[in-house]
Amino acid sequence: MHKILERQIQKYFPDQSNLPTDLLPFLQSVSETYDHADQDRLLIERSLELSSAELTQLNTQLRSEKNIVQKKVDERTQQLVEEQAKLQASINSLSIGYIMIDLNEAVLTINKAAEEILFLEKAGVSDNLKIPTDRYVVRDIQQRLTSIDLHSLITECITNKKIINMDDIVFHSRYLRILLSPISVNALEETIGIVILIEDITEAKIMQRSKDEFFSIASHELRTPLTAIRSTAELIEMIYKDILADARLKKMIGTIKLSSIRLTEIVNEFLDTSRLEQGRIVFKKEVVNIIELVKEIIAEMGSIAEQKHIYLALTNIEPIIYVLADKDRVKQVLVNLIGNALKFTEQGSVLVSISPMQDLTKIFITDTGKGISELNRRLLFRKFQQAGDDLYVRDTTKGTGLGLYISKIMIEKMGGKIMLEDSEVNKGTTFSCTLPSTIAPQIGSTS
Amino acid sequence: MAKVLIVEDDPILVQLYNDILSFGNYQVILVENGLEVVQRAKFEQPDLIYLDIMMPKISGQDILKLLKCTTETKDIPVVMLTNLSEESMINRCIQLGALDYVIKANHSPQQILDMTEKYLQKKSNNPVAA
Repeated sequence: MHKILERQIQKYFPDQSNLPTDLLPFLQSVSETYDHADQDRLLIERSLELSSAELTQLNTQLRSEKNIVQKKVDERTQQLVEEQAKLQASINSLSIGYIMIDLNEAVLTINKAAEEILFLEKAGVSDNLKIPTDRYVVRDIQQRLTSIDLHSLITECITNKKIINMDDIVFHSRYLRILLSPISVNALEETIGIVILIEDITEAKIMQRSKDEFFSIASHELRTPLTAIRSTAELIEMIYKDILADARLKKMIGTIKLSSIRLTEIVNEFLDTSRLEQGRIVFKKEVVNIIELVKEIIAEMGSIAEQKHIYLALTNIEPIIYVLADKDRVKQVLVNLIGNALKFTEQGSVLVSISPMQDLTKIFITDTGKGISELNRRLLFRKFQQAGDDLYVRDTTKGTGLGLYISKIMIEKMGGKIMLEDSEVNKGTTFSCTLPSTIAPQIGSTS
Repeated sequence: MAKVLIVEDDPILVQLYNDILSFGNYQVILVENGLEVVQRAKFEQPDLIYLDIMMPKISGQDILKLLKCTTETKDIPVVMLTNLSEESMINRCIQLGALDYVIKANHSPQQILDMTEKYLQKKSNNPVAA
């Protein structure tokens, strides 16, 4: 019998002998129920004890893991801070001004160079690398940089997702180059802001100008004595024809004359380059009969072709094709192209053909010369380049390498294009240039 | 013998043009000082003036203006001499009444003689100037 049940029976039935016998199975059943209840309680108590221990253990484990994670976070944070500091330091050590802005035109980062170039430092706007967003916006920069509309440029840069590059922005008697570049973060190329780079190019401009001026002055100063040498040699040939019956003397005078002519051409090329680059050559718009002009050039250059036994001709049969251009400059370009073709052709022909089209008239110059290798084609229209020469081993007797460069600028200034159509080594080359077409001469124009 | 007045400050070129035009049987008058040009032109009455654009003290353009507003010299044809080939300057001189221009480095003595002959023919064909 369960102890509690025994105590209760003794309390209510002190004389147990009086207990009705038919109650005994019931009491037995109650006693078992008590026992079951005891067992269940013990079970619950045991399981509770177990859970509590587990929880304690888990808690300990969790704490330890949290410590590890915290340590890692601290370490990574430290690394990030260091990396950011490095990045900031590198941005700050740039001599180019660097400004990073968000889409609300708030400045996120600005470096010392930007502050110095724009005189922002003196205003005490910032003394640290990082500028608080609420203290500094594009408007502050715009107030300094009055010669451009920064807001419009930023909008344009964000909308078009394209880099905007501006040279020669005048700022406090200095020249700046300003570049705006959108910052994209993901594959969708979503723009999150803009980087503005500002470079003070005043010194570079001064250097460039000095170089241009040197070029120009040196060329002018060279031309006068050259004129005198050339003309004097020619005068001697004219005045002292009889004395020059001596073949050796005649040859010497001829060498002086030819060398001075060549030197004058070189100086003229330098001067043309300098003046074209400075935009100091004015291009006339004349109605030019290009057929007539090519015929005139072929007549003038015929003797060179004859000397080399090369067939030089115009293939067109029509008498008139008009273009709108500066006649003297077109002549200069065509003399250069035909001259090159003759120079690099040893046998065969140099043919000029003109194909008039609605907007542009195209002039082809095809030779059967030595051709231009694939490698040399890229350098063709660059300054001081000649197709046939290695970059480092130049044969300077062949010329300045300015001819095609000058021709390219001139043709483009007249609204056309110059290009290498085709070339095959040892087979030949075709160059072409285009000029604006026009219908008939207007009053007051030359043809 | 036709008379040609040359205004040029560079002594080498002065000598050169003197040689070329003398060889072409022209009477050459040389003026190196720009300020004397009008006076000399009034006195000599040349058939043609070659006038350098770049001169010290007074520019060729200003000399041209003075020649064109002086009664005794306004009809004398003037050809500008230049080494600059500066279109704007040349165009201004043509507007001011210069007959033509010669880029010094680009012309041979024979070409200068041919051009001189051409300019003088033009002058004799022009009833006002003649």
